[in-house]
Amino acid sequence: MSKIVGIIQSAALFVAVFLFWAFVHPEALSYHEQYQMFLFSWDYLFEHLRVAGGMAEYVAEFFVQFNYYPVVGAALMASLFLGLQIGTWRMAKALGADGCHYGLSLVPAVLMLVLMGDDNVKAALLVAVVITVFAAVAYARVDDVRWRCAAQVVAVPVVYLLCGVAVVVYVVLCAIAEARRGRWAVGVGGVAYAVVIVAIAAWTWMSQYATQGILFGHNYYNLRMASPAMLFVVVASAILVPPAMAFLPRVGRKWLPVAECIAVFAIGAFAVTNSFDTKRYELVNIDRLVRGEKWAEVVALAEACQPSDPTSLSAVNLSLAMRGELLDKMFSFNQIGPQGLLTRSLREQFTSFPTAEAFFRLGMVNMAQYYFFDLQEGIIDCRKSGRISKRIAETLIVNGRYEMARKYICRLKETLFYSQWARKAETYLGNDAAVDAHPVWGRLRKLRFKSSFFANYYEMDKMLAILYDGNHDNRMALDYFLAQCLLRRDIRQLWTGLVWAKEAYGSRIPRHVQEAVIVAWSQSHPNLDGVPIPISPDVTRDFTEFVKMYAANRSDIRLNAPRWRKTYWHYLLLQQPQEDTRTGATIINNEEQVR
Amino acid sequence: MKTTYRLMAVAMATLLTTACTTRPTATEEAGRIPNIWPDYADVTIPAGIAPLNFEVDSADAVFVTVRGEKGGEICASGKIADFDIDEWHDLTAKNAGADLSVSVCAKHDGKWLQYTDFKIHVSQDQLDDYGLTYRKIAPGYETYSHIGIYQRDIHTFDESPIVTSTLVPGQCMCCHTANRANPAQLTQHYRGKHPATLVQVDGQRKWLTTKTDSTLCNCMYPYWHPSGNYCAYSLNKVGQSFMTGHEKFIEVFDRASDCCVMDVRTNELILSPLLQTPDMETYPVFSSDGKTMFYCTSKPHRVPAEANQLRYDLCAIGFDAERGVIGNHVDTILRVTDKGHSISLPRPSYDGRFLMYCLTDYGYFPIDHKEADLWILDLRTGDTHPATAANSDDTESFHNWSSDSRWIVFSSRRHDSMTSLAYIAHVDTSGQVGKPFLLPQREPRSFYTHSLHSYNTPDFTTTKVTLDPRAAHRELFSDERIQVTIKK
Repeated sequence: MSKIVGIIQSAALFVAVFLFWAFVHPEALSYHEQYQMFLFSWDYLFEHLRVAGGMAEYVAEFFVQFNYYPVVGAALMASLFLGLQIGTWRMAKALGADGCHYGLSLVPAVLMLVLMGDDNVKAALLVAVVITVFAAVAYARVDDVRWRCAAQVVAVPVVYLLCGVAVVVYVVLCAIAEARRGRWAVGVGGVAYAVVIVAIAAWTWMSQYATQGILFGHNYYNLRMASPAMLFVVVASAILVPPAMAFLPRVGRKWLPVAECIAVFAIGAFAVTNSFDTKRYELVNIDRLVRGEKWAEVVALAEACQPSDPTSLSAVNLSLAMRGELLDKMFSFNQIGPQGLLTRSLREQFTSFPTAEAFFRLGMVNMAQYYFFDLQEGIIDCRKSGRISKRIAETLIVNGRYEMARKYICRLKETLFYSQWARKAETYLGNDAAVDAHPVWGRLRKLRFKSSFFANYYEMDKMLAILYDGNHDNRMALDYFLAQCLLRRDIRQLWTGLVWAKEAYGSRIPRHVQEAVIVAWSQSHPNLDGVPIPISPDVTRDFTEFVKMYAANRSDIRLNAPRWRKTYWHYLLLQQPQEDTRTGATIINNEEQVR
Repeated sequence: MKTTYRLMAVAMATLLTTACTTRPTATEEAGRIPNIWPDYADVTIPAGIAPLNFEVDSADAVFVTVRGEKGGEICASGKIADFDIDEWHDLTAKNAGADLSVSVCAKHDGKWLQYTDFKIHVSQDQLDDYGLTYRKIAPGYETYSHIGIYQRDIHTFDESPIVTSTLVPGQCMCCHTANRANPAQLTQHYRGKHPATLVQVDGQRKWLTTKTDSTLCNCMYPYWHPSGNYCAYSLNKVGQSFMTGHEKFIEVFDRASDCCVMDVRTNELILSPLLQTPDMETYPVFSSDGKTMFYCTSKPHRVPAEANQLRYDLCAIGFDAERGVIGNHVDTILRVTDKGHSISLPRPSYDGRFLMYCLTDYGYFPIDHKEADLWILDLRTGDTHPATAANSDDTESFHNWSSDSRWIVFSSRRHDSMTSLAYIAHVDTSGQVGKPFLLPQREPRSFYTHSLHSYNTPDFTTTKVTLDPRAAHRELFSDERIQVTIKK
């Protein structure tokens, strides 16, 4: 195989991986970035070095921080994948391979990409495998067996310290290299030595780590008591592909390397496509757009693919609210009840993001803080998040808890991409007047609750009413209050908000409020005379038509036409109330007290 | 060889002397004591405590000299006052029962200022305990990530984990309690997918399931009987609610609560109808002679709506350790509910003289009650007074006595109003509490500013705690439990 063909194959891998991360799944990069906070401090480095594999994690986190700008992150990730491919090829070459099966050197990198469809896989695995493969290449290139043995005494503990249990890749590749030289004992000795090192670590400085984590790489996979089979396949490929390339029979056909390369790419593309859970990454993407305040894109995405879970619905509803369209368009999407407007805080790291953001913007500062605290503590590998820390610091500043805010700001100052913000925020600490004048924090101080009472998720409508009552400039609170009433099918509560609606919206009452009022009014009145808010002719006409069909046949299939599905009447009359499955409680019947 | 040693000794002495003599010149008098962090001015410390390193606000450099009333002098200079541990120990040992005078010279904007000296009082009372145990946890309401129970040598800056969440992923651990600071008898709860109550006596571990048909729930807040044969627990059906205002965030309350005693030899719960009433009973603790059990009790209220009506008094009931029987008569030791207050966390001193408690406006979980203060009850006279010097405008709570009952450790939120840090204070024979000092760190400002952790339930420990982590992990995740039974 000519050198140029090899370069083209490697370049193709780099470009493919770059394009994949940058343009197909940039949300996956943002997702990983938001669950870490790389600090440029000695303490942060030493904190990692204390743990076997910590250095690989440290390097990975250094790379992942650049995911803040997905294109940059994609380039760096592509470099790591390229590193794995080149390392694999170099190892194969050290074992005696020529370019005949060069295409196979893509296999570990492609499998790694397949594995990374699982969002719990950490980039530390990739870094660890790259380091260990290159370490094995360096080992294999040493000619003198005495030097190799001497080096191994130091290298095994060092590689274990840097990369963790991925040291297995290193020692097995070294053993294969020794076997090729006919020195089986040296190779087996290296493996045995590594086992001893890991055992010593487990009983000494790694004694505070679960055995399974030590054996299967606690820094490679977020779920510490589980490791997917694919993870072992990737590690196995890093070990087996180099000798396979060296020991497979040589075939003289020139097209074979290219054919192998195409086959690996084709199979890899199929496997990667299937390994990235579309639904999951749609959700991740919506959250990324919420984070970037790209409200129109969220709505467009939802229009293309109807959201069906509380997280994406809460994101869509927030986006509509931010565009001032919540009460006009929310039923254009399949609403599932109040849990789709503001979700419950769950004990994990992701699903409550849109609701936490909604609380923050509504001025429910404590609720936002509560959600963000729990999102931060829900991070599976116990890291802190730059995104979340920033929001927590903001809630603390709004609440005047400056010393606590300083703690988060001090950390953020040590990051690359949040430090500028943190330095600016620091100037506000202790300065109430400056915070009051801040466009976001000052506004939130005006919007937040004026009184203190027990928050209750199941009485969110009352909380929103109190919030709006405290400041009639908080139009978003009114939108959410009325939306909550609509979703709860609580027309009586909605009625109490009509005075506010007329005051806030004037003659242009949102369509869904009109729809709710007309249906409620018509149940006890023969005509629309005296209806408390202006009803537009469009709504009146549509309602008349809808009622006619509904009265004639509730099961009329035409009632499910898109035209009617996006009305409140469809939600009210034709959809069954959904239970909040996470609690088992039917929300509309819950009578717990707020106060 | 001897000459070499002598030369080295002279060189060292010269170096040290030189260090103390390179005092900045051309200083101006500030005319006041410096603003230092942590605030160590006029605190009372035990000899042999870790050095009270500190920083001066907005100073680029400091030069600090500490002179002992009974002799000795040490210096520290640099960005912060970072004292040599051995020198500090020698100086404090030499000046037990006397004062240290701290002279601070600090450089601000290129100009050296000489501040007025302040005192640090070295108590005659030793603090021979090894150190502290505490749980470190970052802020969160319903979720926890990295959580761990640690021990800290209070004579140095060394901290080591006892058990952390990296060892037992997904498990919450709480209520680590030794018997009068002696970790040979230890109990601790684990919550999560593998719940258990650990009882470790002289290295032998037992993993218990403490919920029974006759009790409300699993055992909670523990307290050992001095004999080590019994451990009192409360049984709390806990709830928590979040507040909308920006002064107070959370209220923890019980929907129901009782008290019980476990015979740790037989794994039997000893119940009494007097401790399982419709009222709330919580925080049971034994007196130093083990004949009395103190606890807090409140009338029940509808929660969370009436959580601010829950107010607890301090009561006592007898306990016969010979027969393992709870008494049949309850005394109200201290009634505060009629004054609109509530008592929580009673902690009798191990010498039997005092009982320290936490006083709040309502409730029994003081952690987010800014008004929470420490009070002392003289068990001989019945007099009670606030531990004024230890209290602040923010929360003080979760206190405990040293094994000699002359020192207390407690958590306070005075630093940032959200994280609880550990403070140590001296208590004299008349029950007067000295000004407390924050648990020393080598670089305190940097350490505490970067740390998000609260120091939960700090307690003294006479020796280093030993818990075999590998065995603990294996046993906890095995789910093999001993079901406690009810003593007939």
